[in-house]
Amino acid sequence: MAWLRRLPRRVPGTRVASTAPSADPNDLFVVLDRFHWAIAIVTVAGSTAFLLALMVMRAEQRRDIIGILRLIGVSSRSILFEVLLEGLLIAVAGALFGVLLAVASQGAINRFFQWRFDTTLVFVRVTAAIAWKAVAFAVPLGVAAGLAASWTLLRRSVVSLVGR
Amino acid sequence: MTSRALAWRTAAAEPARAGLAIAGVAVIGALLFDMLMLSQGLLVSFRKMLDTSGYDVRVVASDAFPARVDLTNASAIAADIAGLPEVRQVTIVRTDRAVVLVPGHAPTDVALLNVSAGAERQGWRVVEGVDLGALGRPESAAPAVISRPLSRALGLAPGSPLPLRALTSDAASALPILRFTVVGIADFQFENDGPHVLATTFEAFQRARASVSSDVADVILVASRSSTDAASTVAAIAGRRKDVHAFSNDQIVERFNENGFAYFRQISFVLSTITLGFAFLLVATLLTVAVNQRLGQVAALRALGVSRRRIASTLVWESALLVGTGGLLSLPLGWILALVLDRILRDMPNIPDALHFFVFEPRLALWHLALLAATGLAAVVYPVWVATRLPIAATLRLETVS
Repeated sequence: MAWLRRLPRRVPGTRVASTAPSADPNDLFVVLDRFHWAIAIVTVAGSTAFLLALMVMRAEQRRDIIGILRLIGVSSRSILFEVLLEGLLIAVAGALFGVLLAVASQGAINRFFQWRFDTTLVFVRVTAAIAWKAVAFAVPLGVAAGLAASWTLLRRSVVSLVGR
Repeated sequence: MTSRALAWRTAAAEPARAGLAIAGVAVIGALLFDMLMLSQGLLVSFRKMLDTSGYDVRVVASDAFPARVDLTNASAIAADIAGLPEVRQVTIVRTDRAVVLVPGHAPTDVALLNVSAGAERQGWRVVEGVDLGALGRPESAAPAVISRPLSRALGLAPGSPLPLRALTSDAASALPILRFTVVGIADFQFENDGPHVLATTFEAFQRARASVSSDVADVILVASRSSTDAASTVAAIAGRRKDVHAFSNDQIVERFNENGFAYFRQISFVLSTITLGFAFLLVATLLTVAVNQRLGQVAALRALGVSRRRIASTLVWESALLVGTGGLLSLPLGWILALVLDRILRDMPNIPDALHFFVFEPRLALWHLALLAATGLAAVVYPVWVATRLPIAATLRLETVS
C-alpha cells in the first residue's frame, strides 16, 4: 500500500484514500460502531434485569419442589447441577429462537423503515458473526441468571423451603 | 383495602422481583429517553449555535449549500447587501487550509480564518494578548490570533514568530512561507477537534494565499435589523442579488435536518420504536407470569366478593408502580447515559465544541413519561384479561388439589 502515499507526490492535486476499514479511533464508522456497542450493552443490561426477575419468580415457584428434593436426601450440589443443565438448555433454546426471530423479522423491519424514510438503506442485517455474538452473550447470561436466582433458594434451610 | 394499597403489598411481598423489574424498566427507559433526546438534539444544538453567533442570514454562492462553492467578488456583494434597509451588519468569512512550520515541531495543519474587520468579537474571544488590528501594525507584519490548543501544542505566546505556508487541495504546495507574529490567543466559537484555528487580517490572508487580486469568500453572514425578520432579509437579498443564495437560520436547520442529520433522526426513531416494543414485551411477560402464579389468590379474592373491576385496577396499579418508578428513575439514568453516548459520538471528526447530539428539553421528559405510561397500560391488558376471566370454582379446586 506504499503507492497510496507515493501517488499524490507524483500526481499533484490527487487525493488517495483506502476503502479498507480505518484503524483511526476518530474515524466516522469506528465512532458509530462504538456508539452501537454502547447501546447494545445498555440493552443487554436492561434485559438482564428482566431475565433475573423472571428467573427469581420461577425459582420461587419451585421452592416446594426443591424443599422436598432436599428432604429426601438430594444434595444441594446435585440440585444446582440440575438447575445449571436446565438453565443451559433454556438459554441455548432461547438464544436460537432469538436468532431465528431476528432472521425472520429483518425483512419486515427493513421494509418498514425503508418505507418510513424513503430510502434503500438496510437497517438490520443478521450475519453469522452477529448471530454468534448474540448466542455468546445470551447463553452465559441465561445460565448465570438461572443460577443466581436458584442460589438464594439453595442457601435457605430445608424447613423454610417447605414452609414449616 | 384500596387497589393501590393491594398493588403495593403485592410488590412489597416480593421485593427482589419488583426491584429487578423496576431496574429493567429504568435501564430500558433510559435508552428510550436518550433516543428521544437524540432525535432533536443535533437540531436544537445546531440552531442554538447558529443563533448565538449573532447572524440570522447566510449568503453563499450555490444552492447546493452546505457543499462549499467559492463566493467570488465577495467585497462587492457584501457592500451591496449592506446597503439594504433590512440589514444591520454584514461580515465576510474566508477560510483556507495551511500548515504551520515552527522549528522543533512537526508541521501542523491549521484552518486559516479571516472575518471582516470589526466582526472579530463575534467569532472569537481573546484570552491573552490583543486582537487583530489593535496594535496598528504596518502592512509588512502579519498578525495572528491563534486558538488555545494551537498555542499549547506549539508553545506559542503573544510575540512568537509563526511561519506558515498555505496548502493547495490539501497537498504540499510551493507557495512561499509567510512569517506571522502571534498577537493574541483566543477561544474560537466554532472550534472543533479538527485543525487548529489561526485568524488573521484580510491583507495577511491574501498574502498567505499569494492571490492578492482575487476576492473569494466562503460565506457572507448577515444580521437583520431588530425590526426585520430573517425571512424579509432573505427576500430582500434575493431581490437585489440574483448571483447568490441567501438562507435564514430556519432554512439552514431545515436543510441539515433533511440531509446532514438524517442518520441520527432515523436511528433514534428505529431504536425508540424497538425500545418501546421491548419494554412492552418485558413488562407484559412479567405481569402475565406474576398473574399466572397468583391465580389461586385472585380466585380467592373473587370468591370473597372482590369485583373484576377491582382486580383489574389492582393489576393496573401494579403495572403503574413498576413502570412509573422505573420511568422516573430512567430520567437521571438517561441523563448520565446521554453524557457517555454524547462523548462517544463527539469523537467524530470536525464536530464543533458547541454541538451536542443529546440535548435535554422539558417536553422530551413529558413525552418520555407519556410513552412509558402508554406502554405500561398496553402491557397490562393481557394479564387483566387472564385475571378477570378465570373461572373461580375450577381455579380454587385446581389450587386445592395441586
